[in-house]
Parts: sequence; structure tokens; C-alpha cells
Amino acid sequence: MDEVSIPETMTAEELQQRWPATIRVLIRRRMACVGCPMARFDSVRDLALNYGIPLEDLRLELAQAAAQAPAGG
Amino acid sequence: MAHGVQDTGRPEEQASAHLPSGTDLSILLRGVPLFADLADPDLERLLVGAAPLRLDTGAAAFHQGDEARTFQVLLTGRLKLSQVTPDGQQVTLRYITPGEMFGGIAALNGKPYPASALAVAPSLAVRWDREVFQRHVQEQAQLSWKLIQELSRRFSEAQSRFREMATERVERRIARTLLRLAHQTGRRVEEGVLIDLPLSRQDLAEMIGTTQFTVSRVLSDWERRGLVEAGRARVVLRHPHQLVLVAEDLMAPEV
Repeated sequence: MDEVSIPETMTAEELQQRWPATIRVLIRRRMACVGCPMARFDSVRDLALNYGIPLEDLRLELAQAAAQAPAGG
Repeated sequence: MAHGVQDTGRPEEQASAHLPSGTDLSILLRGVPLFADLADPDLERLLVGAAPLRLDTGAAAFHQGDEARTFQVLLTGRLKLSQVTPDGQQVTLRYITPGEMFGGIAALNGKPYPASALAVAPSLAVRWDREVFQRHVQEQAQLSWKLIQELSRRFSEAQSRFREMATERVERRIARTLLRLAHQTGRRVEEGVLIDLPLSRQDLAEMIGTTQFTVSRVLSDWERRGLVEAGRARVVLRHPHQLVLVAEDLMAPEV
């Protein structure tokens, strides 16, 4: 299984496009990123701040989800 | 006309005077989502009958009630589509940003323009006579499919706005409108996300279907709470996520 590292500067939109499997994490954590008009502006770091999740925890969780499925376009 | 289209004469005449070489226009057309997937020969064919239209700030591409004889796409700049109701109230229907078609629905239907299109920044558009564009659409399946997709997108946007008007509190409508404009025209700046559009409180009120007073009251409240920074004609979303919470009616923690 390939190692995946989620850049903290990546926007929520890029994240969902590159690794669609991360959408499950966003939904499970009840985050509003899916279909959000601001997804193209807020970075992974912003998401961690907005939802009060430690950044490294969120990056790890997203990376695990991304590694389990092939990257999208 | 003090702030009319550049040059003298009717827009139709001055448009052909500014016709750039075919290559210039084809590069610009390639950047338009409607045409992005066309094969090169199809895009070349589309240049037939395409004429540029340059507009200074304040100039009109067309006026409400004019016969819709042309189909156009904005290449650079910003336009405001606004309508005057029979009792004289002005309503802003939407802003047009580069890559979007405008006046197309009326042209496709052969109806008069239901709204006026005014440049709010120096703008460049390209247009085709209605019959010429219709021929392009009939000859190119990919173009007609993209056009259907674009019309569907506009239709669902109109449905969303109708639902908002019918059911939602004004704070949510203002938040949604700011988010929609930021999504369409926004740019990351140090303080947050700048809506890259000259936007007064009156403009917002006309888009949202409320009064300027209400818009000012809500924006002042949000400014106090650090959500937005609203200048006279400039709006920055300082905390976009909080506005999403307002727009979606999710529980917003106190800022």
C-alpha cells in the first residue's frame, strides 16, 4: 500500500478531487466541506482550525483513507 | 453617450473594427468552459461569425427589452445583469464572470432580453448573431451538450435562489449570496477571501431581495463579530467557515 502524505496547504477542493476516498472522513466528522462553496479557499490546516481537530490527527486520518483507495483525477 | 462603448457608432459596427486575428480569439475561446472540450477544427469553425465586443465600465452590452439578436460570452471583466420590475424596482439577477455566457437564454428563445447587462469593470466579450450561433450548435453535438449542461446549472442555481427567497431568514440569504459571489469571483488575500467585484450594500440588497438598511445592519453585526470586512464597495470574508455555518444554519460557535 502506497504511503500518502496530505499537504496541510492543500485546499479542501483539491483534497476531494485528488483522493475522493477522503470524503468519507469529512462526512464522518460532520464537516461541511463536501459541496461547500469555500472548499476552494480553505486548506487542510484551516479545516483543522475550523473544526477544532489537531492538525496532525486530521492529516493522518485523511492519509489513511486516501491510501486505501486509488487517487482520482 | 458619456460612458458608452468605446468608439463611436453602434456596437455592431465598432465590434468588427476591433476583430483581432483568428488565433488571438481562438486562444481566448479555448479558455471558455463551454468550448474547452471542442476539437481544434470545431473551435476553428466557431470563429465564423464571432465578433469581439469591448465595454467600458458603465457601458451596456444590451438593454432590457432589446430584441435578443446575439449570443455572447464574457472573456474578461465583470458584468451585472439587472432587471427593472414594472413598478420600477431594480433587481440584480447575477454577476457574469469570464467564461460565462450571457443573454444566451433570450437569444436561444428568440425573446427580448429580460434584463440589462452592464459592465462593472472594463470588459471584453465575444458574440455571434443568433442564427449563426444556432447553426454552430446544430452542427456540433459536443457544443450543444455543453450548452445543455450550462443551462441546467443556471436553472438549478435559479431554483436554489427561489427556495432561499421563499423560505430562509435574511441572514442566511445574505451569507449564501456572499459565499456564492466568493465562489464565483473570490481571491485569497491576507485577511481572508476577497470578493473581486465592486459591490455596494445596495447591490447586495438588490440581489437578495431585501433593503439596503437590512444588509447594512447584518453586515455591521458580522463585522463586529469578525466574520467579514465590508468597505463601501469591497467585501472580504474574514472567516469564510463561520459564514458557511450561518448559510447552512449549522450551530455557529460564538466568535
